[in-house]
Amino acid sequence: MSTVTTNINTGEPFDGEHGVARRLMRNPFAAASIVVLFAIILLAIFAPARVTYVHATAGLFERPSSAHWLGADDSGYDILSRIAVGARVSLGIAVSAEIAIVVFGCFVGLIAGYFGGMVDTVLMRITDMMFAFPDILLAILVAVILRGGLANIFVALAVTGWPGIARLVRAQTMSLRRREFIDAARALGVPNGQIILRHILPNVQSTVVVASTVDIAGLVVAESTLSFLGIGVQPPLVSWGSLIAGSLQYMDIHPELLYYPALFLMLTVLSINFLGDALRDALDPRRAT
Amino acid sequence: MLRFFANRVVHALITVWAIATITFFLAYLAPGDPAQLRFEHSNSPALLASWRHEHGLDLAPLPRYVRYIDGLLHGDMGRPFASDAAPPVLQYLIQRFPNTALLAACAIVVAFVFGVTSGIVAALKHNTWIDRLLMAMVLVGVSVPNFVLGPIAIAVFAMNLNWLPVAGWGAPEYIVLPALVLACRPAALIARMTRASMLETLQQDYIRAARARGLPPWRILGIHALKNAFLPVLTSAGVSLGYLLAGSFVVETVFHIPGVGEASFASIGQRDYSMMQGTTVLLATIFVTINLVIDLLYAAIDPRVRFGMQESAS
Repeated sequence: MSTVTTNINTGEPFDGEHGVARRLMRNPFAAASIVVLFAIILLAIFAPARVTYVHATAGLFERPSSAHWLGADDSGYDILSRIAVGARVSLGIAVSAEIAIVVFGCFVGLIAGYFGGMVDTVLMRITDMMFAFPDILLAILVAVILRGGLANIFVALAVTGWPGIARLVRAQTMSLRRREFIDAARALGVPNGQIILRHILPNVQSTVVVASTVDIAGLVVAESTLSFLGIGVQPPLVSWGSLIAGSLQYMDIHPELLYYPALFLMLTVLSINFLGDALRDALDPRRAT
Repeated sequence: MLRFFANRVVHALITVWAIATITFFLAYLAPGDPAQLRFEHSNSPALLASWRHEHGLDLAPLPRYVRYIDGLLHGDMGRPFASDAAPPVLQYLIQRFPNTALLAACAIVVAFVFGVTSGIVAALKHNTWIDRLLMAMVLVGVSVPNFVLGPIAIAVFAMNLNWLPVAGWGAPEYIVLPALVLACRPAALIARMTRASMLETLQQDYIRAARARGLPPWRILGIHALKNAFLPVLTSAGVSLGYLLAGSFVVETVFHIPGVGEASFASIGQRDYSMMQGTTVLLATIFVTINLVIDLLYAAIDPRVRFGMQESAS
């Protein structure tokens, strides 16, 4: 691609991915977050293949041992296996919903911001409307009506999640549209579609990366909230939310059933948030405070 | 000014209407026949038909929609599907609403006190370890969902330490844990906002001028800086209230508080679409109204907002 990616705020050429990665790793919180997330992703990918979670393999409430690192739960399931399956479900849903949100949100934001006028007014009225609605309420309603299940939570989260990205991309697109390099491209007769894809999209990219990283944390929480309320993933599949919900009745004698999934959930969300913050600083060093 | 007000009010009304419409069609499209869900073990067609008729479920989509909107305009959200003896949906929810409101009010007060204080401290100690610690705590506060914090708070403070009751409602001690749990996230958001806003304000010329005039620091901070730093904080408090209302869903369920959220949660299990529709519309209406009031207040205080500068500010 012949386009030069510039930092939209300063107009200076970007120092490329290496600069970002270097700045990112210099932040100890970010480095730790990457390690934690990497470990959890590995757990999500590889652990469930080895372990069975449908059949009880241990005694009820068995103590941690070399065979069952975190012990067993109220039905004799290995806790770590359940958590690994939960990681797969929670992260899988969050990431795939985020991809849908980014694609759709960028599409709406780019179109609305670039063309302006009626298209913009209509699209933004719709996003405003979605914004005026606490999204978890809508997600709950959609999930209940669609009756839970993997695909349906994905739909519930994707449908309610896109306005944030759309609004962000639109605002950036609007300010980019007035810049000289866009005028120049237009004067050269570059078609609108190409201007959007080649000149605007690369410039909104870093904003979208930061926003969607933070968004994933929100989606992990939203998914586990739905599952906690019993309208998310249905048994025998588990998610961190449903593990926490299931642990509540044994809270007084076996609080570890609550603590383990809660710990994994918190570590994940916290790491994603730290990473998002660090990414924002790394992608735009002037903003670092 | 009047035009701005009218514009905002119309916007809010359209939003509420749209939410009511979306909710209606979601419930309409829901798979399964509510009558058969309700009378699982009955196959008397006459009973099912009369029940459907009573709830207007035998109407075609459009008349049903008209009936629903007409009902809403008259403060009627229909009767719950799950029980014939229960009071109409709106009355039932209004009866429970004070509990939700009390919980949310306590939480927002706690969130404000903690949030604003730690935000100011972080801004004043900018770039010191205190600032970093507070901001790390903020990130934790934003990251830990209510349904994790609630049970852990119960396990620690109610079960282990025995300081507070596990769950329930009716006496002042019951509200402490849920209010703290609910306050956590908004407190973090408010702290972050206050810090950012204070940092920006403290760099303004008039603050330097006040310092140069030799005003005591508490006056500069309390009167000159805080007053101007406060507006964005007010807006973020509005957003926080939305979280509180939605959060009440989880917190009320965890702590067994007889509020709107818990009613809605109970209706999920029974697939009582009528009740769920009602809660969603009610909570969304309250949310929109609060944001409208904050918008109008904001405009009344800050003239820049009225003249269309809010687009660039947001």
